[in-house]
Amino acid sequence: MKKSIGKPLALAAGFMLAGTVLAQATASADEEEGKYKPITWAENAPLSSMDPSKVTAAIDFDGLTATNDGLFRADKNNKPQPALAESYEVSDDGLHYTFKLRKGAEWSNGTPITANDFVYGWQRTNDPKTASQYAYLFSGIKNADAIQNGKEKDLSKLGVKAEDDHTLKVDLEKPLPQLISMLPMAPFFPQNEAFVKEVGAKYGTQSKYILSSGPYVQQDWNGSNDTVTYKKNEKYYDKDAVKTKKLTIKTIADQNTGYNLYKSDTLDFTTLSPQQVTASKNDKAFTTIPSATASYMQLNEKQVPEFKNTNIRRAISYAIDRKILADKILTGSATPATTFSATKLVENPNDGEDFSKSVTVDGAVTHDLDKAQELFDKGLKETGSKDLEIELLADDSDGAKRSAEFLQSQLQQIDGLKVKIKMVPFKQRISLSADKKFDMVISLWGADYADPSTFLDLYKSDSPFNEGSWHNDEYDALIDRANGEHVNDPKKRFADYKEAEQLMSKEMGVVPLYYRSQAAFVRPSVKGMVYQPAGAPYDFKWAYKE
Amino acid sequence: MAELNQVSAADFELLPNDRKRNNETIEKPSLSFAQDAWRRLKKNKGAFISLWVIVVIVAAAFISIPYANTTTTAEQNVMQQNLPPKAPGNLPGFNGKQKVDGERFDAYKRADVKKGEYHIFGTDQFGRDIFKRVLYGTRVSLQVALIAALMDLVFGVTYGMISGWKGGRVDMVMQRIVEIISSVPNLVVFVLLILIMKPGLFSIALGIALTSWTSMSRLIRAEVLSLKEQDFISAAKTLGTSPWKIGLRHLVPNVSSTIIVQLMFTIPSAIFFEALLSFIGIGIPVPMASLGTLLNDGQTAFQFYPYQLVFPALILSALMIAFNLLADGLRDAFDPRTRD
Amino acid sequence: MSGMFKYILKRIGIIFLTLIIVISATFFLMKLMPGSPLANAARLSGEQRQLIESQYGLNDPLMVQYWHYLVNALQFNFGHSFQFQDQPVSRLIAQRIGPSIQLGLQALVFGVISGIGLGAAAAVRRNTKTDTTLSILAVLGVSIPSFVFAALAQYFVGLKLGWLPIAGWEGFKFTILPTIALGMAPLATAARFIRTEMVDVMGSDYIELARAKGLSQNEIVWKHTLRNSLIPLVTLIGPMAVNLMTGSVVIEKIFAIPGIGGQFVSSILTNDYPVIMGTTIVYSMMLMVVLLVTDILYGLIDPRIRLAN
Repeated sequence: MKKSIGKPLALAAGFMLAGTVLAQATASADEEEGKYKPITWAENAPLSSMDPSKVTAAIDFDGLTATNDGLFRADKNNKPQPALAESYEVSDDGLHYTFKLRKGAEWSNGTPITANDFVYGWQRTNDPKTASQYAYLFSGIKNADAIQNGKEKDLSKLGVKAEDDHTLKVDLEKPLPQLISMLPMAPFFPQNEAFVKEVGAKYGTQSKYILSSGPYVQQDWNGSNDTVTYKKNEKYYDKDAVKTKKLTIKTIADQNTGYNLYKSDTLDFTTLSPQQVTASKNDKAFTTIPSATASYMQLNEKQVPEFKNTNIRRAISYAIDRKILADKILTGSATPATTFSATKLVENPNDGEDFSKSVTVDGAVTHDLDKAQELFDKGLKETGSKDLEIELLADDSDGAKRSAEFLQSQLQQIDGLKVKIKMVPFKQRISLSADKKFDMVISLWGADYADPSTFLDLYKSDSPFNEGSWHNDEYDALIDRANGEHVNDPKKRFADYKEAEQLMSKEMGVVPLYYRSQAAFVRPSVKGMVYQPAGAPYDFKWAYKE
Repeated sequence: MAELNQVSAADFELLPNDRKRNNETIEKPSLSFAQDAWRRLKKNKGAFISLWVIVVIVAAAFISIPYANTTTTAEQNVMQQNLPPKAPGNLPGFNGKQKVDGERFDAYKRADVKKGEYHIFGTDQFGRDIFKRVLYGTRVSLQVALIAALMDLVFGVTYGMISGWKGGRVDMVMQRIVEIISSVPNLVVFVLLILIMKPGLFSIALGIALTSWTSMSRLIRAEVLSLKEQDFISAAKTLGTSPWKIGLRHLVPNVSSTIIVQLMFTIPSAIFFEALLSFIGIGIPVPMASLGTLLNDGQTAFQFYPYQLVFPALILSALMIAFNLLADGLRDAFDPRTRD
Repeated sequence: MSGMFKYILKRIGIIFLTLIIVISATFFLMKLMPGSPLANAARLSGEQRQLIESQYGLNDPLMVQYWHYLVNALQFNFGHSFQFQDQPVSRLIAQRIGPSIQLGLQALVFGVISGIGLGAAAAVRRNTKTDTTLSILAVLGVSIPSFVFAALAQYFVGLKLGWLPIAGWEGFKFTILPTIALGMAPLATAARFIRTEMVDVMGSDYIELARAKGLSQNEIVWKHTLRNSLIPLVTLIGPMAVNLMTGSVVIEKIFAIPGIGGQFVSSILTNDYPVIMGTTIVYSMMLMVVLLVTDILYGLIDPRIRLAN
């Protein structure tokens, strides 16, 4: 009711009738602004792309999720809820989906959001020319693989069609039980063809070259600056649910700086280092943000023949005290892992228990140094080697560095095992592991969607992510069954995955280390934040600050 | 005038034979250049103390090899992590008590540390003894600096001498090369090098030397240019002494003071530069440690465990100040203008 | 003046040559590097990978790539960032170079001016307690790494005392702490240099003459000694600029300043080769310009130097 009324009044002079309406609207908005304060958030890296087809970094997912809606949006329990879709139907064979789209939804420039926007967006992501790094998520949708491989040049052959403006049909090659859980992710967002074509290669590189279909519109991003603001999108169909008028996201690379800024009330959020956690556990603002991300060691059987021996792999696993690793070394950002699959991924369809918990084999992934030594000696005898010297590859991120130093000292407790550390930048670690040029590597995998397949399919013997080259026919058969015969039967499929996971834990195909989480300070007056364990880490749609 | 005639021969005294020599003797004992410099250095209190500080730190760092080496400093006892300093006796600040999250407690008791076990600098997040780590880190830092200084010495001095001695075309080309190299920022040269080489003690030292040798070569060249014109060199040349012999016999001794002073400046700046690299994340790789990596680890935790920053910072500062003061002192001591 | 002109032309020639060498060196070093531009490379189909490689020009013969890169780089076109997709590296640098230059200049001015003050004060009172204290202070400035100093200043001045902003870049107040933190090194260098020079000058014949003429101590210090000591200080600006560039990398990260230093570090850690190459070239170029300017300045203010010779 105070200062900001000036402008609408000036306008109202021109349009007498509309004037009153406008003035009223501002009045109520003003009240709201008084009620809910702006939120200032911190990210540790700068925004790199706002193009849903080219997104890669977590912060990009955050930005896109703040400004867009997909067919579905994950709610605070991480369940996909219809968003731009109103309802959907699936055929009995699980191969055909029909989505009814919400009427009246608009882009931030006022054009209506139609089924064509989804068709265009999905085609663009699959077009090999776009080189989308997340196009693989579409695998299983009709012709997606063929288009990505360049075998099918006609993009319109992709299994997604607009029957009319508000009906979207998706045809699959094979059933995809994870499809709905993937739809809240950025690569599945709609893209407005006219707009994308108009701005061309600049699409998604600056605030002025993006359109919003979601809760916020982005401002002031020039492609490389460290402070980006988001304003409430007044064209958003669900704008009543959006309480925050202004959201500012700052890039703060140094955790000490973030901590100091939080303490001085400049930031409402900051992630915490292990030392900061130790000193803040009693703070009201201390929050542990779950994420469906797991860290594990891959043992390269191609480079170290001894790793083909199950006893040696198990010895390595038994030598690690994961509780100390999680509590004392990675304090606040990890819980001890007992499975390859991350926690917070999915629930057991029978009883609702967390997948990772319900598939854990007691005593398979635990600490027992005596047993480790015994298995190691036995393994060495079987392989005919005297001792073993291996190099542990890790990237130079803080967590990996800490883990590597700790693991080195843990593993060397086994007599006859010597471990050296090789530390490289993140991307070099990725490419060295992809080329299988390592003895042992600390890997980190974040779920792409809420389904066990996002983890367990990785270690099929023909998967490119099976970097340790562990091979087990029974495991492969179980995974194939889960994806084939049992694909439309959630319970049987779950049983397959459970058996596969347990087989892996016993055979130690990979050595699970910890489930990652994120320790942070979240100002207690900030409410309604949604953290997605898979997909965008932070969803601000319902967030508000009192 | 009559009295004069009265002077007899007995009135005269025979002077000794070596009268002349005695008369010419200067009262001060004769000193070589080095002795003279040493004498003047001793007069400079700051520089002299610095020299001893350096000797003590260097000795401690290298004598402690059996006590603090790669194996012993890597020993982890995570249950005893982040213990504050504790020394025998009940010294304030060394009593093993600390305040975390608003609560003050005896950290040693809480971590079940055996009685009589002390960590005088405390322990780090892995429960490693910081005293050992600092000794070890100091050694690694010094090694990096010494290797860099050695490369500086061999390459920079040779380059500068050749350039200065040959003169003309050769000198011009060589100086253009120096100019080009020194107009690339050292961080850039370093980053490019470290991207292709495996990070480690030697590659970091090499990276530092790659950028610092140019100033050494410049100084040497300037000295050689002026020495070249002097008579004793001309004499040696006329006598047909080979250039190599002239270089070793006449040039090196005459530029040695410049070399020593320059090295005294190279060493601390190498230590410093390595520390900075650690902060960026391209310094000495784990599980090795240097003063730089210790400072960087300490810096991230100083609000809660200040001692993890303070001890490595003290040692680093002591080394830096000592080297700089010593370098200043040596420069003055070698400077003939300040001769008294 | 034609000699000066010729000299400048020659220097620009050398700068050009140096640039070509730097560009070539960065190019071939980067070609040796492992690691793909893409974080998710293993997820790409062969077709996608080929298209990306041709998009980044990675399929051409090496010498063709080199030639293209050289020609483009000399026109400040460093290609596209791997990390910030579709963003030209030159734009990324252009958008962030402002704060870096401002911070660098402020730190230089602050460091040099306070250094001169401290150095002069020490020289005037040489061999007294003030001198020793100031000298130790000056050395302390270079004996604590800037990241430690910055972290301490941020915590105590920014958070505990609340006098200055902790981090960010939203106005002059935000620049004070980083300027001081970054300016400590040039401060120490300038102070030590000025002290030595002034002590030297004070012992020279013409100062003796001035004293004999009965000039006041103040006049001697300000008019003769300090002035004559300032001229050679110009030669130190080049090395100071190098240190400032290195230091800014650290300071920008700690104080969350949107400059190229922080970006350089993150590009190193993310293998963003085009940004590394671009920043490298820009850094070298900036340094060369600084060196050229200081040389010209030196020639102009010191009549004894004849640049043309």
